[in-house]
Parts: sequence; structure tokens; C-alpha cells
Amino acid sequence: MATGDPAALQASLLEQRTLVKSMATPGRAGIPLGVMKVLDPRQLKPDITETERILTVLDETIVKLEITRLIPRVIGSLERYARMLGPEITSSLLEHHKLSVEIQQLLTSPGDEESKRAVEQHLKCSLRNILRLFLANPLLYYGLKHEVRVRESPADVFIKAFMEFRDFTLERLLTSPDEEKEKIQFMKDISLQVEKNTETISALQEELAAVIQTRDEELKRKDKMIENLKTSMEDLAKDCEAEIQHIMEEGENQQKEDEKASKYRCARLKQEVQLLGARFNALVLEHRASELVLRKEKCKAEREIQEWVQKYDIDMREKQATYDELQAVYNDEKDQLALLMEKHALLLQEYAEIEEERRMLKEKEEEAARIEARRNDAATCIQAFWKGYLVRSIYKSKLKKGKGKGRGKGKK
Amino acid sequence: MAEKEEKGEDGLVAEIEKKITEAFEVFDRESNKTVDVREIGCIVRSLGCFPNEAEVQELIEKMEVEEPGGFVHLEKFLPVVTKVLLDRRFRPIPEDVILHAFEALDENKRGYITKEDLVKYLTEEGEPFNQEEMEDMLAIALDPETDTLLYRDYRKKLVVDETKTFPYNV
Repeated sequence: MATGDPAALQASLLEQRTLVKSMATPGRAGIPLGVMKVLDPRQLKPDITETERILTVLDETIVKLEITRLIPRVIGSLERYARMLGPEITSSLLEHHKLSVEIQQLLTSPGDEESKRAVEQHLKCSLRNILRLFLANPLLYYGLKHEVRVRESPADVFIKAFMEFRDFTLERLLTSPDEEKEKIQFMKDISLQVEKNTETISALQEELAAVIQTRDEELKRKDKMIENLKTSMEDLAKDCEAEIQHIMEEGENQQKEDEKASKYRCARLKQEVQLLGARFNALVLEHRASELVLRKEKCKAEREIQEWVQKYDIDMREKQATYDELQAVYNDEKDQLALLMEKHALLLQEYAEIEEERRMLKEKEEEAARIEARRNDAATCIQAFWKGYLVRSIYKSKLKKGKGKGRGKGKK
Repeated sequence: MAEKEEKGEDGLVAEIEKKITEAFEVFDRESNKTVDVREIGCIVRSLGCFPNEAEVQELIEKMEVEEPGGFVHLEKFLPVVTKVLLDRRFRPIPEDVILHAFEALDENKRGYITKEDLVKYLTEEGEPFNQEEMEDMLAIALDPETDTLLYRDYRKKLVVDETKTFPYNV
């Protein structure tokens, strides 16, 4: 933490500053008036005569100090400023220069205290004299102030410190006891805040350190892992090569074996081919023999067929002759049939006529029979009627006694 | 007549049977409830029926006569004839039917039939009359002046007054 990098430190400081600022700005109402004055010195104004006087003394002292600071420079190039300063001041300055050289010699070389103190007294007097001369002419002073470029020197630091002292004194003079208390309280608060902030900073730094450590560890771990991976890669490559070698060897072995096997197979196949060739020749011979036999059979069959065909032709010729004869007979018969058909038609007509005649005769007979039947029925009817009439005529009187004589009886 | 109708069926049957019995008794010459088979036609006709000979033979068959030319007992006769009367069979032949019958014999539609024709038809056709029957009929039917049968007039003479003849006035 203490060895922490400067960037981090600066960041923390910056944070601190913003913290103070943020405290001052929004919390202005809460801060006592005195404190406000402390924070802003421009508002400070002397309000009591006594204070005013003290301040005047201090301001004058400052002016004197500044002039004093200018003196060595002016002496350095006295000819340049002589006209501006005038003879009185120039002579005083020369004297002063002489004295300062003298006292420097005395300071470097150990001499008696007495003479040293006397020279010192002279120097003081000379300085006072010069200062009085300058103060008598304020314009000269301001002119020099603008004209002379003084290099940074321990005197400047002193003047600055003195000016701070003047402000501080003014502050003290303006501050009441209550304000003082408040200020102290405020300062305490501030310091507390600072402490707190410091703590926060340290905590943050610790955290940071922890984070850095973690990161370092992580880094280390990763490095190790990388190392491992590299190693494994190398191993892998090595293994791979070995594997390839192995496979190649195996492949060669396999190839050799295969070659051997295939040679063997080739030999066997050749042998087989020879065997089969021999068998094939044997079969060809055999088949040629059988072919010869078959050819003979075929010749015989063809001859037979030829014979059959001839026989068939003869048969067909005979049959054709028979057929022709039959056809002639058939035609004759057909003619006869046509003749007969004509006759038959004629006869049919005659038959129809006869039939018609017969039918008519039959109808007549039927008609006669019908008339006969009708006459018969009529006769029966009349006979029955007559008999009924006769009987009733005869027997009426017998049935209906005392009913007068029936006509039948009278006629009988 | 109204009285008879009121008697109902039983009464009607009893009446018919009575009339039949009366008619039967006229021909029962020996008074032993039997008649000659040859009389059956006469009895039925005397009851106002007009059957022809074939129909009379049919009735005789129903009466179950045992021997031909025998006698018929009333017990056999009564149910057969009662049924005939109740069924109203052999009703009197109407005028127009008689007219048609004569017209059938009158081939030339002259309105009369000569004696020769009548004798020829009635003794040869149908159920031929015997000589006696023929002569009976000729005696009554012929017009003495023309010696022909003027059947348009004659048929009116032969029609029986049905209202006076039992049992068709029932």
C-alpha cells in the first residue's frame, strides 16, 4: 500500500479535494459566519482603529521587505538606475554595498565579534537610511518594482511567509471567542473527515492491493496453464508423430499381408481357371458329340416332316376334290330347294285360303248352333210357361175353393 | 198381406208349409201322404212356380226317390219345395222374356208364328211336347181365323196375374 503507484495516490487525493468542495458548497448555510471569513480572506476588513494601526505597521514592513529584496539587484547594475534614483540614494547604496562586502568577508573569515557587531550596526543603519529615502519617494519604489526583475530567492519565501503571517494576524484580530470555538469545532470535524477519508483511502488501497494480488495470482495461474497447454501440445505433437509412425508401420504390414494373400489367391484362381478350362474343353467335346446326335435326329425329323407334308398335300388334294363334288351337289340341291320353296309358297297360299274357308264354315256352324240354342231356350221357356199356365188353370179351383172357376178349367 | 208380413219368418215358413201341404194333398189320390213322381211338376207349378222339365228333375233328385216311377212322401217333398219358395226360385216368367222367346222362333219377324212352325219347334226343340200337350196348346193358342199364333196378343192371355197367385204375393 505504501508502495502503491503514484497514479492511485493522486486519484485518492483528487477524490479528497472534491469531497471538501462538495462539503463547502451545498452546506454553506450550515457553516458559521466566522468560518466563512476564514475560508474567504478577501472579505476581511479592519473595523477597529487599533487593528487598523497594527495592520498598517505590518503592511509597511512588507513594503520595506520588498524594497530590501530589490536592493542587491539595484546595486548589481547601479549605473543603469543611477539617473532614476538620484545622487542621494546612489551614494547610500554604494555605501551599503561596501558594508555588505565587508561583512561577507568578516563572516567567511572568523574575526573578532566586536568589529563584526559594529559593522552589523552600520549595515542596519545604512539599510534604515536607504529605506527611509525610498519611502519618502513612493513613486520611485513602484517604478523600481516594475522595472527590476528579481530572481527567486530565499527572501521571496520569507516575504510570502510574512504576508501569510499578516493575514493570520488580521484573522486573529477579527475572530471572537465564539467564532474561535466554532472554528476549532469545524477544524475538528474537518480533521475527522480527513481521518475518515484516510481510512477510506487505506481501505480502498487495501482492496486495490487485494485486487492486484488476485489479478497477479490469476495471471500466474494463467501462465501456468499456458505452460501446461504448451507442454501438452508438444506432447500431443510427439504422440501424433508416434501414432502416425505406428499407423504407417501397421499399414505396411497390412499391405504386405494383403499382397501375400492376394498372391496366394491369384495362384489359386489361376489354378481354378486352368481346371475350369480343362473342364470346359471336356464339356465342349461332350456337347459336340451330343450335337452330332441331335443333328442326326433333326435330319430324321425333317425328313419325316417332309413326308408328312407330302402326305398332307395328297390328302388335301383328295379332300378338295371331294369338297368340289359336294359343292356341285350342294348347288344342285340348292336350286332344287329354291324350286321347292316356290312351290311351298304357292301351297302355303292355298292352305291359307282353305283355312279361311274352313273358318268361315265353322263360324257359320257356330252361328247356326247359336240360333239353334236360342230357339231351344225359347222353346223351353215357352214350354215351361205353357205347362205352368196349364196346371194353374186346371188346379186353381181345387186350391182356392170358393174363389170362382179358373179359365183353364172352363176351356178344358 | 200386411197381416202375413207381421208374422215374421217362423210364421211365414209355417204358412208356406201349410200351402204346400194343401197343394200336395190335391194330388194325394190315396190319402197316404204320397204322390206319384210324375205329379211333382204339377204340384210345384200349382204353387205358382215356372220350372222347366230339367229343373223339375233336379228337384226330384233332391227328394231322393228310391225307384223311378215311384212315389214321393210328403216328408221328403216339403223341405225341398219350402226352400224353393223361400229362395223365390222359378218366379213367373216376365212378359218381355216370353216376347223375346217368341221372337226367337219368328225368324222373319212377322209378329206371328205359323201352326207348322210352332208344332215343329215345340215338338222338336227344348223339352219336346208330346202329341197331347201340343194339341192342348194349339187348341187354346191359335187364332182360329188365320190358323197362326199372334204372339203379341197371345202372351198377354197367358200371363198369370201374379198378385193373386200364392206365394209370390208374400
